[in-house]
Amino acid sequence: MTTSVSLSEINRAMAAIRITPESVIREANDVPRKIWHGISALANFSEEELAIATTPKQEIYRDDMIRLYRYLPTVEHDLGIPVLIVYALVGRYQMIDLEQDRSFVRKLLDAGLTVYMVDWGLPTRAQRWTNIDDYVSGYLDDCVDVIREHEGVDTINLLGICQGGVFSTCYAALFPDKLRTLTLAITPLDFHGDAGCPQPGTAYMNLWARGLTGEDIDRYIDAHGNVAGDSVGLSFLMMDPVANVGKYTVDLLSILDDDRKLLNFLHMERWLADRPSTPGEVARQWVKDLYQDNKLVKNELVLGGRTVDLRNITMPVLNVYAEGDVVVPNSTTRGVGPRLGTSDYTELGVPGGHIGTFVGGKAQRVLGPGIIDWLKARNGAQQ
Amino acid sequence: MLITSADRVLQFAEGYLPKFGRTEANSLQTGIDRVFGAFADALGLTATRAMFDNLRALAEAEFEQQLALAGYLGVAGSAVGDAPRLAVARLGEVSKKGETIDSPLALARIWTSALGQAMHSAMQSDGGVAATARLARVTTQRQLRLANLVALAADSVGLTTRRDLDEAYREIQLLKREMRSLRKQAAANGSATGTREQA
Repeated sequence: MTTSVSLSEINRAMAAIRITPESVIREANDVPRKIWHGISALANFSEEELAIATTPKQEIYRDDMIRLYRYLPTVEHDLGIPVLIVYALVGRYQMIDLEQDRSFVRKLLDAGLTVYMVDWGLPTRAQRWTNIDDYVSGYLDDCVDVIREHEGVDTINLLGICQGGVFSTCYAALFPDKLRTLTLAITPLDFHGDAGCPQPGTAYMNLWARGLTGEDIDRYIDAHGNVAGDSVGLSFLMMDPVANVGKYTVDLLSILDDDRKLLNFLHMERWLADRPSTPGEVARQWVKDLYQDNKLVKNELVLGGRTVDLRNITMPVLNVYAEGDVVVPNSTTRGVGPRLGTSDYTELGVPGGHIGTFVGGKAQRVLGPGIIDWLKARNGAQQ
Repeated sequence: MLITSADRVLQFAEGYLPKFGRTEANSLQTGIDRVFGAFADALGLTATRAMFDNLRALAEAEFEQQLALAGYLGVAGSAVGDAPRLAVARLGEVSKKGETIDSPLALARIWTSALGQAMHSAMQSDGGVAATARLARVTTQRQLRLANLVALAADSVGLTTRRDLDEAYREIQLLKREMRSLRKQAAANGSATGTREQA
């Protein structure tokens, strides 16, 4: 839609531009300096500096491509609060431990929590028929049982992130007796929550999924088997193509002479480049049952012949959302408390966007302490 | 011609680009098939005929994909047409606040921000969502037809196809589920220690 612009509007806009030949020359001189500095820095970063997810951990269980890790404690006082972190399938778990000084995992460990994490691994064609129930009632339930046995407890604390939050929600509804608490972070729950209140640049996944039919999804899975990690990556890029072009041009140029920021950029790129494929049957259920039919909040989702009834979630629930999340808009995650069976439901907003929740400086100041305090209170530990 | 709407681009693509005379080609193909099909099969040309059919279907899918891509780019093009207005509006706001832009990079950021906003408006519109869906649909169709063609070729020389492999994986997955179920039952009955491999 193009509408005309009046001459007075153009004059007002031109009045704002005060670019002088001197400022152009100054910036033109600055650009090569930044580029040369950046080239030198990029070549000189060591592999250790580029490494992500460096918090020491120990593998305690494996099945197929999945691994269950226990992070090694960083403090002597163990609060006896076992937490299992469940990340999404569409990205790798390293996001929660991307950089040492802003590692979500380290914050939990430093507070004395016992942290476990399930790594879903890199599914191959062999996982083509692995479905959500295999993940929830299979792998995840096995991991929870291993931790219960390992810690000598009946119940543990589950912390699900994004798609992992949906799996955790399903798990909590199907196996409520094994959980002490459920924490969800940036988790889509009401997949049609965005409808009727569209925000610019948000909820593309929801719009795209509803723009297709169930048959389209079936055909896609039949054609491709799994959904390749590259395809998932492309769909994230296409949610904001202009900003992504800017990221690798104007934005990159502005940080080339700042080694710290450049390193942050490279850490994120390393994480982005490692996108696993999603098993075909998981993708089919994920798009059709959740994005298209919104079965989770309707209590109509069926996994392995059992209905996921959110009213079975009777343990305390903390729902963390990112205030500027465009992937999981607030309207698709907030306000689900009345649908659950618990009377202890809390929401915690953190500044920033979807991924910024776990890597942004401002978000980190709210996220870690918020979750730790909430968990301590629900596990009988002193604040 | 300034691109102002995706529909106009799509109409142009649909109306003026050559269509390989698809209707005529299909009629001719059907006629030949009805007359000579059984005879050709008797001569052992079944696989060749099927591959030829699939090649034709693949070419059609390829063409549909190009049309869908043109439609998609048309929507994106409409955003480019709308961005200058938004950039002017943003600069007007800057001016209204008494602020100035004195860096070319800052000006570039205002432009990309305006373009981004215009792109969102276009891609989140009904037309944008429909164009995206169409592109996804025809790309899938093309992939399916390509896979069919390759499977036919593999079949004709006795090679295992992806479908064969998928069927084997399906069987394995069913067996895994059954084993897991039995293991959990056994653990619940306290009659077995399970088969977990613990490090």
